[in-house]
Amino acid sequence: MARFTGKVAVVTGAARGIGAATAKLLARDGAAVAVLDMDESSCHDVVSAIRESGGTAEAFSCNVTDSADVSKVFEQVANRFSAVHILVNNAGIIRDNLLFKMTEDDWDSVMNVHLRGAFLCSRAAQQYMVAQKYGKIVNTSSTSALGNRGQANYSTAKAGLQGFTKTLAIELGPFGICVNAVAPGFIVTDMTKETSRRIGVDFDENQRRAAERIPLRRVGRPEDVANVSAFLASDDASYVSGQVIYVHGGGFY
Amino acid sequence: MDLMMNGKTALVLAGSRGLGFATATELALHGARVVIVSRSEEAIQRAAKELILQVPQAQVVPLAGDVSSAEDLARVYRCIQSECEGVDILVNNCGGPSPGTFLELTDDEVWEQAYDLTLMSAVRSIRHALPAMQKKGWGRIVNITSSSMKQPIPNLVLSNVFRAAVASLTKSIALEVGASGILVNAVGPGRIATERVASLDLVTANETGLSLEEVSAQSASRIPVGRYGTPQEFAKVVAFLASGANGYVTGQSLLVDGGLVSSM
Repeated sequence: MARFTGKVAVVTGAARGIGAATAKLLARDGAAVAVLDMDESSCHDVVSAIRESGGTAEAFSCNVTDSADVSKVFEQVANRFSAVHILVNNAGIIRDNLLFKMTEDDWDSVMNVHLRGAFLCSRAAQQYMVAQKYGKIVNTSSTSALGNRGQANYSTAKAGLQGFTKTLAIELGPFGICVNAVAPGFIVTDMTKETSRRIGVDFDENQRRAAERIPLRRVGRPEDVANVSAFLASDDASYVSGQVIYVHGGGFY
Repeated sequence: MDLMMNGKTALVLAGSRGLGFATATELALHGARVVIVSRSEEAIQRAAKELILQVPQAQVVPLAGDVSSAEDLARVYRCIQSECEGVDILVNNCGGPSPGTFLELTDDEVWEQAYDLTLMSAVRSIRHALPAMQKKGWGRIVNITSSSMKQPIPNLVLSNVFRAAVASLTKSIALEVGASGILVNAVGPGRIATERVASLDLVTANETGLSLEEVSAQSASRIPVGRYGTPQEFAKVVAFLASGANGYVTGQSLLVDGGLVSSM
């Protein structure tokens, strides 16, 4: 029996990048996966890929910053798959800028998607998890939580998610719910591609430069992070809670 | 989950009981050949038999040796070299150093013993293991420590100092050997139901006049998930980090503590 057989997983921001890799891995190992993203049609590729490999998945459009939308989608997921066991809070955006150029909208948008989004989705998911005395929540922090030029907003949000993780671990632990976070470093996704564009460096060149400063001498792949998130979402990690695992190949040095 | 351990050789120090034994068992379950080491010849032979009872297909090599002794570690690695091309997976583990507070432990000798047992066992063992890993361009090292590496535990000053040192060693080596495909991490247990934790609870029981059950219940009530962990739950985390399924996590210090320690 695969490790997620009979489990229902919700992955936010699952149309692309790390979210897509995580959704596919959870589905490959037996979970029914609700693939959430802003635009339902953007989830089509992930859902088709999962179904073509014999897995179960369904797309849901969800604006994680909208309380009513989140409640509605979790209800739909629970109706469709009859439970919610695993939540991967992965939805994220960047609005990078140096502080003096950062607008209030840059700040608020990033806070809303990461922090308000993780809050609303976790609050919706815990209803099902507490009732069934079982749940796994994996939040997506980042090495940017430790500080990153041009990312005052993103860094703050990603550090905030670590506090959120540790507090939920304390509050939800008595109900059999483990809450952890992964903190990816440089992973090849559309988001890091966008960062390269912003700083005016060719993406391949940027990856090469980053790899030189990473102990493992390579940049990460979405699957590198998905493997760790899936481990944390599995019963192999049944006594791991409140942890933040950096998935960064040893970090920059 | 396939941890891709078939054909790998794993060395687990202090592998005769507790977390070391559980880890060796988990690695064997995933197909690794395991070499287990502990001081007593009799204990390590018994552990090997017990492991094979639990995992009948297991390949187990029991070796007697004191992990705090440089000579014994050198001998263990010579034995391994004579049988195969070195260790692919190294799990450094050791018993806990003496309890006590800073004000109580005034003898240099007890500090030096803790240094050899807790820090130098890992230093020496990694030194022996690295050349073969570097040659193969693949290796996984997991240092078993304690939650004291993140947050000091009262009355365990030696653990607090040397476990933190192992965490820092872990990060330092991760930087140096990453380019050779070697990942190095540390895992610290919180309250895991082992003989060691039971004996610590017994000490508390004797000091406070409470029963052993009352002491454990009080202790469990402070853990977010509300219970002690099992050695197997701990071992599964070590096995993941020691496996091919982990490709990009290195230099990390992770706790398996049910949410107990709240440090960042």
